Amino acid sequence: MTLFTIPLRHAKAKWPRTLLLIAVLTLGLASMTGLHRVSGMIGESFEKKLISYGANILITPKKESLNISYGGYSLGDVSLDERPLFLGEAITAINRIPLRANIAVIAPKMLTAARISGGARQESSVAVVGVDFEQEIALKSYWEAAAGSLSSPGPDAPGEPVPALAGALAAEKLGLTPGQDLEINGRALRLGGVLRSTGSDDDSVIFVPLGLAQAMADKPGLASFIEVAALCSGCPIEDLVEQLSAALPGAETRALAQVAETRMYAVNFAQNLAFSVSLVILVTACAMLIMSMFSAVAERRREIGLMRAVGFSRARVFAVFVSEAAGMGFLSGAAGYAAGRFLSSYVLNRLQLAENAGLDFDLLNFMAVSLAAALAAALAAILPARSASRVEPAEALIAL
Amino acid sequence: MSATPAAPCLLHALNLVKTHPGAEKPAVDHLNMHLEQGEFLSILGRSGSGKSTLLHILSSLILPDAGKVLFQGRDICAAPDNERNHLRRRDFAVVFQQHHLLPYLSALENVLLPFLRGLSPITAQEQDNARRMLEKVGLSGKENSLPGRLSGGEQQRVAIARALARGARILFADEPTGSLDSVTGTSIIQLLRDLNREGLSIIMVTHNPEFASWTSRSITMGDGRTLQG
Repeated sequence: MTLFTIPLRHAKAKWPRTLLLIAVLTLGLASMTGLHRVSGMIGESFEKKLISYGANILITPKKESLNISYGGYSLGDVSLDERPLFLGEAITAINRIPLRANIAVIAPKMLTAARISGGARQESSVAVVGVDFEQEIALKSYWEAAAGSLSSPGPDAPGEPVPALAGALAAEKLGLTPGQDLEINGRALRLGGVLRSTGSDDDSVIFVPLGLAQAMADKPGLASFIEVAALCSGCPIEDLVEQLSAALPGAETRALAQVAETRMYAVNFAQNLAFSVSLVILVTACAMLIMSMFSAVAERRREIGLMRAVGFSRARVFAVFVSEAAGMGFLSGAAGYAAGRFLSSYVLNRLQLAENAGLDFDLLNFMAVSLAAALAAALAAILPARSASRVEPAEALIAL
Repeated sequence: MSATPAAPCLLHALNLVKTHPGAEKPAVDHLNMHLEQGEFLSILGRSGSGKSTLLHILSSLILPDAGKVLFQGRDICAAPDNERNHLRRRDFAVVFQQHHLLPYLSALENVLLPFLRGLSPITAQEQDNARRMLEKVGLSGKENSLPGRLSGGEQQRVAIARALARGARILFADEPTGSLDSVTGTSIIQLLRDLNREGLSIIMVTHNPEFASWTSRSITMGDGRTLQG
């Protein structure tokens, strides 16, 4: 038997009241944990969908330039020192950052100008962009084939013409059609498809495998820049940029702020809404607990008087009431966490917001939620417990 | 064991005054009294005579507006709150008219209440002591019974066992037979007399002159003052 036997036995003796309070707190905590998880998964799902609308981080070679102007007439920037962006090293470094799990797509590019023949026009200049088709298509799911197919470009096979895709405007100007054999800088290519107009720079270029573009530009193993699409629901984009900058000291990494902010607004909206609702639920549950504890103090004045009469200090009486609330909070936290996981899985699966959302029971989270609930309940019980500890023994005993 | 004039004074009340909030006249009005070591003192008086208020002041449950209560020469009214808590835990024990047991604790656990410290559990020695006290008041075999399962007399015995479990020096009994029938009441007074014979000093408030006659000394109160004794 310890001091805490008193709240335990009292809670057991008054089990309907205890059960009701635990049920109310559990409901509140289940809603909170459930909402938190659903909003988190909806946020992730939003973000995964938003990722397909382009990159939000750009990695470019570091360069120093000088703006040349004279007499108010600008001749533009002259590049003084441009460090090459080594693709292999860059990808290895990106894969090693602590927030690697948040990176969804790494899409390197090599830009070059070339001469093309084989279209309706005999020979013309064209901008060629070397890409990793798999990553590029993952990054730009808004790409659609106006003719031919997007899936046709695949890895180079020996002896086969190299696959390529043409932007809508480039195909129109050069008279290109899918399946056509082309020659770019003397290399044989076969046009797999023509992209539907996107209204972006993609319309005016020919996309070829990265290796071919590197060879044409005589820059094997290098990239002009790398586009990165990152998931930011679990961390701010600034953290990712900071880690990438540290991993790639020879390159310049920057966030495409507008894209990131728009994306984060959508993700944060769902999470903020859930947080606000959770806060209201928590405050309501705590208010109920406070009211119930105040009523318990009024009901138990005789008991408190007796405790004081047998020598309990004010601190001990306070501990009895706070520990009773904390105990109920802990149980509610445990039950609320379990119920919240179950409910969120049901909702996510039912509304098809996530694929096969399981319970994903996490012991650490379970303990954290239970302890946080115990702490919140203990804090809510401070005022009633303080009022209990101030009961004068004689007053309480004589009054009855 | 009855007190002798040579017995040392254990508790001394000097010029006590207490007026309850809202009352016109003081419940205790410039009252002086004392308790000797091993004495069984009864305080008689009609309802409203101030005898319970006096007992609550003497047992440090309430503080007087003026005056002193000296226990072993020290003024307990001037002592800090924690010292008076300690006094009620160790040296003083109070038994009330209504038995005031925690209804959800067993008889044994109710007796163990004054031993509770916090996280440290009750020791085996404390448990044995509590069992012995229950045995002493005639309740062996009822250790695990909840108060609701005990008769009024048995509940009062549990309250007395609790009062004595920590080896109190003085037992303050406020109308201990007030809510009991005469047979049960007599048995409780008999128990208190036995405990007094073993050396326990007792101050008992009662309005029953017959029970008062069983004690070693009586004082009678009226209008907050000592009328007799």
